[in-house]
Amino acid sequence: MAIVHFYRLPMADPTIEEVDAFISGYKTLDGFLPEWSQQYGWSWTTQWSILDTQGRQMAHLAFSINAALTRPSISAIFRKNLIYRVDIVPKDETKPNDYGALAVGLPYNVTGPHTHPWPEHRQYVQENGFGELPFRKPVDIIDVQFIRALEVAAEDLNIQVDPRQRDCEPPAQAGLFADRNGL
Amino acid sequence: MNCADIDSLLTQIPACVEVGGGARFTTHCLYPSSDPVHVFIGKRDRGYRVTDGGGAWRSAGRVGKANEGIFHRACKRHSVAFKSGILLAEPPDSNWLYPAILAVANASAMAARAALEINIRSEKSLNMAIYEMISRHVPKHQITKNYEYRGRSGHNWPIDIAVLRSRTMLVKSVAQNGNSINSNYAAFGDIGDQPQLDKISVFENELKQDSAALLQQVTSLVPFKALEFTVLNGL
Repeated sequence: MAIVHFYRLPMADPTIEEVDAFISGYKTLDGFLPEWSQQYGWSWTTQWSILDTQGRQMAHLAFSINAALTRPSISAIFRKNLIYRVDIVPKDETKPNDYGALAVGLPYNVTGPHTHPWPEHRQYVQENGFGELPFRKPVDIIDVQFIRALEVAAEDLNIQVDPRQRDCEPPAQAGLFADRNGL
Repeated sequence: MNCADIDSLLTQIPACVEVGGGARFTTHCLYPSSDPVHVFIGKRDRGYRVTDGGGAWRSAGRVGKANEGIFHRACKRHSVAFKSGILLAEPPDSNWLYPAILAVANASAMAARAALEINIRSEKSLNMAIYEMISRHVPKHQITKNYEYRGRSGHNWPIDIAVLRSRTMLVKSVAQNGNSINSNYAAFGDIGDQPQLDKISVFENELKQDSAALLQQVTSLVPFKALEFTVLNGL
């Protein structure tokens, strides 16, 4: 596995062009998925570093899932800023899209799994700064496994995933103590 | 408790009322005054027109001077337009009507809230400026920030800055918003007139005439630019 070099990361927010370059460049995931942890009995979370060709870590994937293990989500964080998210939600869960989604050709309602993709938010982030990605884009994901979310994120963000890295589910016993509200 | 009960509780007051040229829809978004944001929906040849009827502009005007920059930021965040004091969206068909209503209502509430926060921030920075100006002429041990003064009712009123010398000078900053005007009027009204007491309300941006007339009954209104002269005069 690649050796990670620790650099002092720039503190300023990245530019739009730097995000574009990051997404289009070659990237891999660092080793295997780090151990999951749970805080306050709510979501399970872990973070997986993304490395560039020179082994530098400029970003990570933040994995998170509710205690009942029904809503996996992966966010891409580049230099501390959210640039992408994929959410697997129940197939019958419908949310109205943000009104701004009209201008970027996304549907007015989104049912089931979806992404908050970078290209459709490029202009939005340019005008409003980093922080939110309000527009939803439906994706066809057939089950509630993290590997499906990772496949979508890897394709959208151009990340090379080694076949040995496909084991990325939370521990089987994680959902045993979820409360009856399914949180 | 089931969802039907909650739904019926939340719809006790009809949200949509037909008005001339369209409909008025009461949203769950709130202005700083806790009044709900109303959006106005009209049918056009192609699609709809959704506006806040100038609600945010009026709300911002009540708490200070409405600032177009705030409205442009709210427009960018919620992808709506701003024209002549009105936030608006023009969805092309009924499918986009609900997202447009949410966008206009949230943009309207956001702009009104931002106007209030700017006003509060400018009042705090005015207090700092007042303190710095007074401390150039009065020893610091004679100046107290966040002072309390007992009124005739027995209530202890918060005073931004007090100058405690042979005469006592009580200073409060005031801005054109309901809380600030009420706070000055209630405090200085209850403290009343006393021979060894000067009461001063300092403002930076011009106050509305009715607010100024109200305050002048109980305090001396002094523009910040004239405060130095007033302080030196009172020493």
